[in-house]
Amino acid sequence: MKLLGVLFIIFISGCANVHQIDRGVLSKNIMQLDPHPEESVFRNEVHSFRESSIGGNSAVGGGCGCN
Amino acid sequence: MDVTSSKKWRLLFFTSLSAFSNIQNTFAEMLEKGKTKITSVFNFYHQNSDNGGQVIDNSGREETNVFEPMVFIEHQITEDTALTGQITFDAWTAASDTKLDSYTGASNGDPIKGQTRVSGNLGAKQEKGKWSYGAKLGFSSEYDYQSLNGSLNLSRSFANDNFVLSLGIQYYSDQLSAFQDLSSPETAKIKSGLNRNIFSTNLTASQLLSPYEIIQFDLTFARSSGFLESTANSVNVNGQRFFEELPDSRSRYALSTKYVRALTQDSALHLSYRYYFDQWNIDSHTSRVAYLKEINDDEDFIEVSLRHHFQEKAKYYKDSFTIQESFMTSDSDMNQFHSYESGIYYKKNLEDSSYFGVKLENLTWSHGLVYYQRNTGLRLGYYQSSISFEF
Repeated sequence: MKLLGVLFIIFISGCANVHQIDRGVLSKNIMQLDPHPEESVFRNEVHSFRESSIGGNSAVGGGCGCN
Repeated sequence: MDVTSSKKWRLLFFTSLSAFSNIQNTFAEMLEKGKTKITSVFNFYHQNSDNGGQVIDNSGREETNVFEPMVFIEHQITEDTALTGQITFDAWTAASDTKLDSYTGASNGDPIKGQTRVSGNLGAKQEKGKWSYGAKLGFSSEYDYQSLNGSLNLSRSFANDNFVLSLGIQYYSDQLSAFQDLSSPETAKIKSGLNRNIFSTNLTASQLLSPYEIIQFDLTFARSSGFLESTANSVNVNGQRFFEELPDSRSRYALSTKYVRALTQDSALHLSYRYYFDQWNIDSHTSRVAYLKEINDDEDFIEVSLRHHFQEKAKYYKDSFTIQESFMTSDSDMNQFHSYESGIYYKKNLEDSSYFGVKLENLTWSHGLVYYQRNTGLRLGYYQSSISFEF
């Protein structure tokens, strides 16, 4: 985990500022952080309920008799 | 908090502080004023296993079938304000811990029995300059579980939308029912009105790294309190069945990251990782990789994905017990296991069409198939089909 943290900081400190005119590729469907948000609602429910883990946009409650 | 948890927290804090001092992303695009978008998703789910230690009849059988249609609605009322809504209906049959027959809700062997759930939420979101606000109120209702919940979300963009920082807060006020005796399903008594409250907050930051890559980080904290046992879960103590017993609070923490990189003009790689730990000593590591490729134009694409999840078992978990303990569970979802998941997804853009004089735009159709298997035996799979349009 410590190594991941250090790599993360090095990675982020090299960030560039991307101008609007250069965002053609970034605006594509395949480049979205979640390219299918509605389907992900159910997928996150399944992972949240069947695995004892949450986070990273997973569901956390509001139904199902899970812990 | 023990020493290990304290170290983990310091590491999470240090990492996130460093990230948020630099990072950047873009707000989600809004619809045109007056437009409405509707998306319907139909989910068909099946799971099976004979390894559920929590199942009251010692069969271990965890067979479940779920049909869950969802409808998402978004209406743009002004250029910067939208109303959102979601309604979900579940119907399922189950033969395990979550199986509830029509009389008491208890597990009842063959044929497997079913129940239903309905849930929904209404919300609004608004963008004002570099700020974005959102709020939702929701409910969920089923035989043994009722929930009222609300959420708030606040985002701000920086550096010409290269970087977006978001804070989300959710609160669930839930009530559930649980069995009060271990007699047969026909005579077992069930007690209603048991409280469970969940508070959750998450801090998310995303940044454009270059014209071809974006990264996101998320920190999540959730605390559950109240009755945290499951409705019908039990444990085996020297051949006798007793109820699951769990503490009345649970704090949960997660740190996750996602990285998206364009490989060519029409293909991309998605990598994500999550580290999770909680007060019940469950540690987990989840990794996912997906390859997306455009087909025909940038609306049509195919995604293939692989996911691996590993978790340590909860400190209260045992397959079976020799003596009664203060806290004990045999819920297979809290055991140690590896799981492997593969998926394929296809989204296609259709021609604009008119029905009953209404012109439907941005009409899309998608299909997804996911298969999941644990090394402890549970297998599950689901098919998703959706249709989306604007008018």
